[in-house]
Amino acid sequence: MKKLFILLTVVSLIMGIYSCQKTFLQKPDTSGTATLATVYSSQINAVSALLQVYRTALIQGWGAGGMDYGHGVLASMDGEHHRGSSWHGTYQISNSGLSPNGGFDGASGGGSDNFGANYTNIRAAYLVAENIDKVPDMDAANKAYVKAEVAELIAYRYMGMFIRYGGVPIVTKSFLPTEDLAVPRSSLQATLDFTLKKADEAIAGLPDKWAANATGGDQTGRLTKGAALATKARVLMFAARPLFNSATPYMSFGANNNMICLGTADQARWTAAITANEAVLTWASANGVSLINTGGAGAGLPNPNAFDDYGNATSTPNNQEIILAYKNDNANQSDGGSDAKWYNLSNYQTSNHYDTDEVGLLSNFLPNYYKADGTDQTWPQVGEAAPHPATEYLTKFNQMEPRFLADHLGPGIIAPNNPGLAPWSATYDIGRTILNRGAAFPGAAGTGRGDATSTKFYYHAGSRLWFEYPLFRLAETYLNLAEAYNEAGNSGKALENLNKVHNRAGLPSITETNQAKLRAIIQREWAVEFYFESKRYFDIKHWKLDIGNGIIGGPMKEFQFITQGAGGDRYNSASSLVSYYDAVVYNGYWDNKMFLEPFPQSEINKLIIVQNPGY
Amino acid sequence: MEKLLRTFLVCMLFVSLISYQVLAQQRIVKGTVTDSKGMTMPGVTVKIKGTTTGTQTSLDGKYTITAPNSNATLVFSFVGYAEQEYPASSANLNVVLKEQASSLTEVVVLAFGSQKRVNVTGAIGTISGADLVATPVSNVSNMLVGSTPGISGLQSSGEPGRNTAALFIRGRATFGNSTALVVIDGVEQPAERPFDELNSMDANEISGITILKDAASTAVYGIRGANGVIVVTTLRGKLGKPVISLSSNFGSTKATNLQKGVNSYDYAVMRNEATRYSAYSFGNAGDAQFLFTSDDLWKFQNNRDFTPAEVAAYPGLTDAQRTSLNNSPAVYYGSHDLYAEQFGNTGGQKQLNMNVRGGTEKVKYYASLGYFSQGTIMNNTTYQGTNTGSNFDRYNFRSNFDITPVKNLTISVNIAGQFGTTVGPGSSNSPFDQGGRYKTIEQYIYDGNPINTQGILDGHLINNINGVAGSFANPLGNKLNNNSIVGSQNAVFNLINSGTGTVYNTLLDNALKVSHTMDYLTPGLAAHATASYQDNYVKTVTQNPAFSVYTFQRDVADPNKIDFYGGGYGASSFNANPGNNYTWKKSYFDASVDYSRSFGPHTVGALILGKATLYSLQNDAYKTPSGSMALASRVTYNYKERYLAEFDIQYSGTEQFAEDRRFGYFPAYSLGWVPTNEAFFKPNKWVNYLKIRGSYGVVGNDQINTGGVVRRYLYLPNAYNQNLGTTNSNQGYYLGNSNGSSQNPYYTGTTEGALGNPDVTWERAKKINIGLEAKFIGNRLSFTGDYFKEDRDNILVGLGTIPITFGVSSSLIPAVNVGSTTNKGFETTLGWADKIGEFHYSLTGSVSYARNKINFFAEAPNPYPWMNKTGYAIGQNFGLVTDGFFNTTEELANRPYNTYNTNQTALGDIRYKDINGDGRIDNKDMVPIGFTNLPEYSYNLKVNFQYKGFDLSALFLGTANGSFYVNQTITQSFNKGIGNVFQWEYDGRWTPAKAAAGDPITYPRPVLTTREPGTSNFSTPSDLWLVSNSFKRLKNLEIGYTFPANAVLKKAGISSLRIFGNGNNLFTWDSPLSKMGIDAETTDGSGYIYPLTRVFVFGANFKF
Repeated sequence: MKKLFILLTVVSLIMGIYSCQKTFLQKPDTSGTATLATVYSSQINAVSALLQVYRTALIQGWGAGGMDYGHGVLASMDGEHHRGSSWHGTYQISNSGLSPNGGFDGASGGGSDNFGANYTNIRAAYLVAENIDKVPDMDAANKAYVKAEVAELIAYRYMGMFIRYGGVPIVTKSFLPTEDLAVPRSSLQATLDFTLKKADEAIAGLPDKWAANATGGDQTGRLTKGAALATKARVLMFAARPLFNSATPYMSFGANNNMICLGTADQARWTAAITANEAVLTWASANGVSLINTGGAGAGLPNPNAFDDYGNATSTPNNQEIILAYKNDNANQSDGGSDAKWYNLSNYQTSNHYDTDEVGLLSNFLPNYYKADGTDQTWPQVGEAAPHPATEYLTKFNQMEPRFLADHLGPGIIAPNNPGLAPWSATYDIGRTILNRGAAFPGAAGTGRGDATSTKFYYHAGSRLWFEYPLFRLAETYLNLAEAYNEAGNSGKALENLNKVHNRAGLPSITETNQAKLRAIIQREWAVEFYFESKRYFDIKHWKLDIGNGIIGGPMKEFQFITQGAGGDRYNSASSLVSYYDAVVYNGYWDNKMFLEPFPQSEINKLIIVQNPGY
Repeated sequence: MEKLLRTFLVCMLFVSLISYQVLAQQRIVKGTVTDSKGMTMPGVTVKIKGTTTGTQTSLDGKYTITAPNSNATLVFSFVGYAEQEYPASSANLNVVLKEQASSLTEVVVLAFGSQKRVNVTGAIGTISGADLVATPVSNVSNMLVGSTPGISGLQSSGEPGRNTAALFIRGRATFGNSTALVVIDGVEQPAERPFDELNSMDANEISGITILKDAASTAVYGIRGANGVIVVTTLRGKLGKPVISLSSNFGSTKATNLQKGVNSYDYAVMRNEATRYSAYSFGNAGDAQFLFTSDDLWKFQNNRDFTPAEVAAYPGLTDAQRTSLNNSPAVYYGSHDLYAEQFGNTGGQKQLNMNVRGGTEKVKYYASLGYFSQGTIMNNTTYQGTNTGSNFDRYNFRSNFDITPVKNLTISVNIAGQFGTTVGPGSSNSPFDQGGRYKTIEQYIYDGNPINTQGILDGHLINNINGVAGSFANPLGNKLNNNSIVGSQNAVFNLINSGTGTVYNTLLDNALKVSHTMDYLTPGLAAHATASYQDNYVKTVTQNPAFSVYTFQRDVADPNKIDFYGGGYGASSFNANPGNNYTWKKSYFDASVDYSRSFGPHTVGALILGKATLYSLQNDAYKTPSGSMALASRVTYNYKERYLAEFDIQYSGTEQFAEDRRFGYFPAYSLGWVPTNEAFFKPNKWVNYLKIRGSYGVVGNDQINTGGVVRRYLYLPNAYNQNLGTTNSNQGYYLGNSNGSSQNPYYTGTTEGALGNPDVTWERAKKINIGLEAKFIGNRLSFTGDYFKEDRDNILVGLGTIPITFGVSSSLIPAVNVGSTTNKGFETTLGWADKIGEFHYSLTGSVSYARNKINFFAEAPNPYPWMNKTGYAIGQNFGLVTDGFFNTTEELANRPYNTYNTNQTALGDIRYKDINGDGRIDNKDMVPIGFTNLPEYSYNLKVNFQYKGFDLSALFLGTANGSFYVNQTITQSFNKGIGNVFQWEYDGRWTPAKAAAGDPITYPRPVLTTREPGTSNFSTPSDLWLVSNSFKRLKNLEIGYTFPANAVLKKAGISSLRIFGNGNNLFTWDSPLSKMGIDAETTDGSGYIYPLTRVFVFGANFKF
């Protein structure tokens, strides 16, 4: 009996260990973990989820946030700026074009957009709309606003994809992993219709204004009816422009032509664009949104305050011209979420200069600017017999129109838009030098410093690093109308709208009525007014300009400066400049396939969506 | 649970059915056991045949046993001696045991017990402690590579203290974690850190290691057995007087291979070629200023800074000064082989072990104290108090006590400790970030060049030249500093400046095991219980001593003089807590009942065991220890050692999985047949032994990960990240109406986090093994052959097929258990052992082969099958296929479009094959090339000779079907415009002359800067950079002499003395990789390679 007892003891020891499951196989402490229920248990949490979508959805096209190749901004890919440093994605794309395999033929996409981010944002937006009704402490009106905001955020991303890719997969809800996840590309028309449908939902549901609200604090910056109207207006402009509004696509896509082309060239698309843009103007005038023109010169006359007005319109947060801005006020340079590293070229920005050192203004873009009197400036040309004296550069710089002065600084010139502030000058520090120095005429050093350096978005900003990207400002609506009326054959209305913007910039009215000539003038106005605002990359493609010949492709030029004196860090001072000349520094790559973006090859390989032609 | 109970009850029933008592008359037998030399033998087991009643001989070899009756048979056995049987017919029985050559009676350690080798039905490999000790390296993993068929490995570094090998048992069968389980004295090591204790053990402590390879041998480790098991047994006390052993060896280590750089003249010639290509073929006309002149070349060639003409023209010098200057070696135009100089030192190595072993019937003891030290192979490590060499020191102790306080009860207490100190350069990196550290150490070896690294000049550490670039005082400044973005290129300075990091590693291991034999209940029944606790603590400190740094130049007035500038000291710094400390703890418990008994021709064995482990890591995000629990059972049966059968089952689970999915069954079945033990088999001279065995079973692997990333608790539901933005970037948003004078208020963000996979489970390995063991020609010729096949499924894999439109980023989509692989291969061993007079010799050769294939990887269906990983081996290399170089403009004109270099191809660039024929070279042309880094074949040959006191043993090792991808860091010439060039690159490079002459070319035209599209020659994966890592090597050679017993020794109290010399990694041949200065056993991936080492030691073993 005793022996049996011992045996049983051992057996129970074995079983005993087994029964200690709670000790040996513990469960993780998940008390601090949030679930879907936690997020939608209170208004403050739900709004947090919504605002996160603002943060990631609206950045498309700006900084590197919307892109899939690491470094660089769109301006370095559309002939405004030099291509950047050799390790920037923009450099690769300028060299060898967009690639479905990434700039280095690697794993990630090599287009100008992060294709996948579109759908992560769309899913995040749908999740908010689908769950907002669960929030107990939010009133019905605010829930309706949130749903309309979601509709607008989705419309904004679809607009972005429509412009970049053509027809794309249409997703109408957040998927469960168990559902059929295969969504093929829709036609261009269906994508357009879906975008407009979402914009219309938003127009119907959004307020005209946000201010203090039950959801707490001043809510200025959330989406308004105006933003949704402007989205609709922009989408319709791109639908009317020649890339899509055509019977034949830019490249044959066979049976899939309807994914990249609307199939007819229809003037009615311009009419629709006019209607949508006029609706924006109507809304704007009813809600205190207007062009900043404080000069009081009157209609059709140059605005004497143009420099300040244009500076404020593009730089001052919450100015009266803004319909929607991307509000990332992060001023912490060491934080990857700060945008200053892409846009602030001053010496106040100290965390790194690697993303802004080699993005100077190209000579290819420079002639778009007028002189202050509205005539064209003559700049040095490649192939001249001798360099020009550097004093000429300083003179010519100062002869330029207010928008040029508001947006640039050059060697020997302190930024006019931040007068008296040494960190806003090229002479401050060798590290920020904008000079292309050292090549013997007519050679090219090709250091990427350009003809000038951008100061845009920082009018009177001083040491403030953050700014709010203008996503929709009213000048766009006027130029949309100018372009659309001109295409519709109404040069009178076209000039009226064009001159609103042109006069505000301090320039005398334009009177050209020849449709083709006026088209070129309007396109030039777009280039100057919206320099560096992440628009030109798409405009030039949708206008189907001769991009391969000096805009994106072909010889890219920048000024070279010959200097005197040994003071390395003072080469940029006016007194050390000797002469300057224009030189070709690299050849840009262009292929017609680049009218639209490639989808990542990894997605194509899943055999659900088809690649755009040529890739 | 119900199933579990049922299994348990069936087993217990079996145990009780076979228990019965034997009743008979008793008889007392006494005697002495001696060996053939007449020495008394303590510790010999004396048993009554067919029972477990038994005793052991005492210290003087005497025994007393009570036999049930005079018909009983006494069995005398001792490891290494032939078992003998005598009838208990007389009261006095003296026995002489004979040493046995055959290993058939050898007992091998298996999972939870040991078995006679003849009865083993699973596939195992064994390594004796003596074999391990014969390899004078610091860690056991390196001793195991190639030691027995089926175990292979690669080594990522030769740095002291960081030179362990990654081991693979029968290759790899998963793209997840393929690390084997390690068991030390029956205690499972944490699956998360299996090698921590093993790799710090003193080999002198180890009695033997068994490698469990097939399902039958690993099934009782169930959920952790799929990758094979390494069972380590330490030495224990044995009956007898205390024997003190002292062994000591000392010697030196040296790099096996060094990457050889070119001399400065060759460097200049080759860089002029590159400069001309850049300047004249690619329009970078400005680069022409970097060309070395013919005067420069003369100076490189003659190691002078001035040509005779320059000396003659130099103003204001006396004739003596001119003569002296003409003979003054260059400081601006010098020549250094940076890599070879850095790693060319000879480091010291010492090892010391003292142990005592003995025991009485009540207490048996073994205690060991060890010390190991390995010095650095690096040069230029000490300068004014800096110490940037890599050194490793380790102290070990282990004491194993077996106490028998009362009959039937043994209490074993094991206490072990390991104290390692690893010192190495690179204080700014985590000491565990090997890649980062080696980059710090070696970056400037690659980025620098043979010319301008002066290192330490006249006792001054130089980091730059003082003179203005291009002037008399810095003649090459402009030619060498172009495009440099890394500052000072001085490799010596940067190594010294990198500081010192020290890692203190302390591991304690305590185990208590209680064994209770229950023969009183029924013979052969015993119960055991173990409790073990391990604790590892790792602490790091860093040190950056101040030192003086100089720039220099030749004196303008008298260039024979060298002027030094600077020299100020910086601040010393010592950081007692730079982070990176960690600690883990592990508890292990088991309890078991086993039974073993023979009934006439039937022998049965049974085991039932419950065990549990709890492992906790300090920096665990979940603050939850990982654990595993298992109930294991084994039943063995043999009939006259003719027919063998074994059934194993484990029911086990871990905390990794959802509560209702934690446990699973892992059964294994095996059978064996020994025809030579059949009645019909007539003993003969030719065929002495044959055994055929086979096994099938299922084992698991719960250490699952995807792409090397472990996500614990993958089963938890979708999580949300709230309040993002306070510390994260790109989170949250700002709202408000500020005009810019102040920031708007900030609102935090919330995102959907990782999605859960409630169904996540373990990997399942279904393994088949068929083996044949045979001995012929009087047991002299032996053969073992095993064929195995493993189907691994449920491998965790990220779904590559989910479209991006799902909207969940791929890192948040949970991995699922859908991957599958097949791994198959064989192991064969052929041995011959014989003696001619007093000359004993043996030769054993073996070949192992393992090849795996991915059957399912859940990847997108790529446009071409060769773009898939599916269908190829895990870790298969992919790349472009090269077809020589562009030798003529005609070839250039007719080439396909090369997307990798924007089609800017020049003569001398690599020509790739357009595999898919679409006129473009792109990733669709990347096909499987070569093999994986881990070779498919490994083979070895062991040779042993013994003549009188002399002994010699040698181990030859080789591999085949493996590949090494040479990183761009190594292959790229003139990195950043001035980087290094290796001799093989210089020798193999393309030049127009060689192309015209049709000479062999193995390296493209050199490229000056990364601005050039030719950089893609080096950055694009291609078979040109994939080199076979096959090799043949004399891995180990030991020659020893044992002194015969003589009066001198006896007087000194020395019972035995042996002296020996040993070398490891001695000679290598047939290694294509060694031509690049890389050891073939190196892991590929990184371009920063710390060379593996060769060791020579001399030593002596004393026994007192």
